[in-house]
Amino acid sequence: MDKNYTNINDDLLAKYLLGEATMPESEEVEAWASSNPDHHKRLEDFRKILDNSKLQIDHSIDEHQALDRLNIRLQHEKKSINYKFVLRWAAVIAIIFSAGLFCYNNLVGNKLSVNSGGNTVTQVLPDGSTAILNKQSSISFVGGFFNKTRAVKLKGEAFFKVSADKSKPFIISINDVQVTVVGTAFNVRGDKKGTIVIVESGIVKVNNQKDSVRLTAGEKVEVSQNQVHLTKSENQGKLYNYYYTNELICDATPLTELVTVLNEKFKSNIVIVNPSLKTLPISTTFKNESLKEILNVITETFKIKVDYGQNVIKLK
Amino acid sequence: MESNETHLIGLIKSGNKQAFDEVFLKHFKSLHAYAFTIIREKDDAEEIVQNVFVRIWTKRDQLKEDGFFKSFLYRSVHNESLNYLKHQKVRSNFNIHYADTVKNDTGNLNTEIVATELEKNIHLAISELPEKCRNVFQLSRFDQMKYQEIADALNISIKTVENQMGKALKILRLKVVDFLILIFILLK
Repeated sequence: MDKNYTNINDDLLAKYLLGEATMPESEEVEAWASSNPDHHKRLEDFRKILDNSKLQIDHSIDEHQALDRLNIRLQHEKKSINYKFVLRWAAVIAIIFSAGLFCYNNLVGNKLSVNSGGNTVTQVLPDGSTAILNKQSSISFVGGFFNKTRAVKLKGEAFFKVSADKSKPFIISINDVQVTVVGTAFNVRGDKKGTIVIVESGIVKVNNQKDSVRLTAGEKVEVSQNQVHLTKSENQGKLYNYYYTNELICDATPLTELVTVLNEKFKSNIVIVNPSLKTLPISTTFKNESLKEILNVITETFKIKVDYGQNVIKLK
Repeated sequence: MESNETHLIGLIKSGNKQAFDEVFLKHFKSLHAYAFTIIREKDDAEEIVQNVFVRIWTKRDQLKEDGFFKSFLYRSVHNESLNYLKHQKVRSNFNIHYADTVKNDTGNLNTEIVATELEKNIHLAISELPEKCRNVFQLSRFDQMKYQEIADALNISIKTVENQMGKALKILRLKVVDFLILIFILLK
C-alpha cells in the first residue's frame, strides 16, 4: 500500500465498502483513495465486485407456488421410491428362490435310484446322461454341484450315453471294477463270472484295484472275479447291444455267444449238445423275430436239428 | 438466526415436513437467484433448486446440524448448476451461444454482454474460493448478513470475518481484473 497509510489493507477496504467501518476508519480510507488514482482504482474494483456478487433476487417468482410445484414432484418421487423398494425386494426373493432351487437340484434332485425289474428301462440321469438298463438291473446315481464326481453304482447291465462334463468324471462302480468316462458311449456288463466293458464310441478307462486300461471305440475288456491284470481285446460284432437296439447283430459271431444272448432275451434254456457246433460263426441280423423263427434260421444255416424238450431246447 | 436453523434441520431429520417447507420458503429466492447467475435460465434455475430440495428430503437422515446448512445449500445448487451446464453444453453448444448473441442485438450490446459476463465470472470465482473464505463471503453478499451475524452463525470471531472478507476480495479482484479493465473502458 502506502507509507502514509500503513494501517490500510484489504480487510479495512471491505469493511468500509460494506458499511462495517467506524467513522475514523472511513475517513482514513477516503483520504487514502483520493491520494492516489491506483488506490482509487483498487477501491472501485472492490466495490464493483461486491455489487456484482449480490444476488439479483427475482421478485416475480412466488416461493409458495414454487413450494407447491416441489411438493408435486416429491409425491412422484415417493412413488418411484416405493417402486424401487418393491423391485429390490422382488430381486431379493428371486435370488433366495433360485439359490434354494439350486441347492435342491444339486443336493436332493441329483440323487437317483432305478431298478429295471422285468423290462428294459431308459432313464435320463439328472446330469443329462442317458442310461438304458437291461432287465433285472439297477443303478444309483449321485452327482450335482456339491460332488466332485458323478458316481454310478451298477448291478446287472446297462448302456450309457454320458453327457460331457470334464470337471465331473462319470464313474461307474460295478463289482470291484470302476469305469471312468471321458465322454462316450459304451456297454458295461457284470455277473457272477465277471465284468465286460465294450466301447462303442469315445474313450473309457477301466480299472480295478491294481491295473487299468484305456479302451477306445470297438475295444472291450473282460474281467473275471479276482483277476489282477486287465487285458483289452478287439470286440467282435455288436451283439451286446441287442437290448437297446432290439436287433441281434451277428458278425462272425460264434454260435455259443448267440445262444447265451438268446437265452437272456427270451428267458429260454437253449443248450448246444454237440461241442463242435459252439464255434460255428454266424453273420446275420435279427429284428423282432420270435425265438422259433430265429432257431429256424440257425438250423437252416448250419443244417442242424432242434429238439424242443420240456424246459430245454437242444441243438444237435 | 442460524441456531434456529439448526433446530429446523433437527426437525427435518425427524421427518417434520413443516420444518422442511419453512426452510424451502426461506431460502428459495436466494438459491433461485444464485442458480440463475450461473445458468441464466429462470425455469431451469427453479428445477435445480427443486433437485437439491428433493434430495434433501429423500436423504434427510444424512443432514448435518452443524450451522453450515446455508453454505451447504449454496454448494449443492452450485454443483447442480454446473452439472446442468455440462449437459446443456453436450446438448447444443452452438444454440446457446447463438441465442445469446441474437438476444442482445441492440446498441449497447457490448456493455450488456460484458456486464453479464462479469457477473458470471465473479460467481465462478466465488465458487472457487477457499471453503472458509467462501462461506463468509456468500453469507455477506448473498444473504446481506452483517459481520456480527456471520460471526455468530459460523461461530468465529468478527476479526476472522474481516480477514476472510479482505482475502476474498483480493483473490476475486485478481481473477476478474481483465473484465474490470474492459468495463472501465466501455463505460468511459
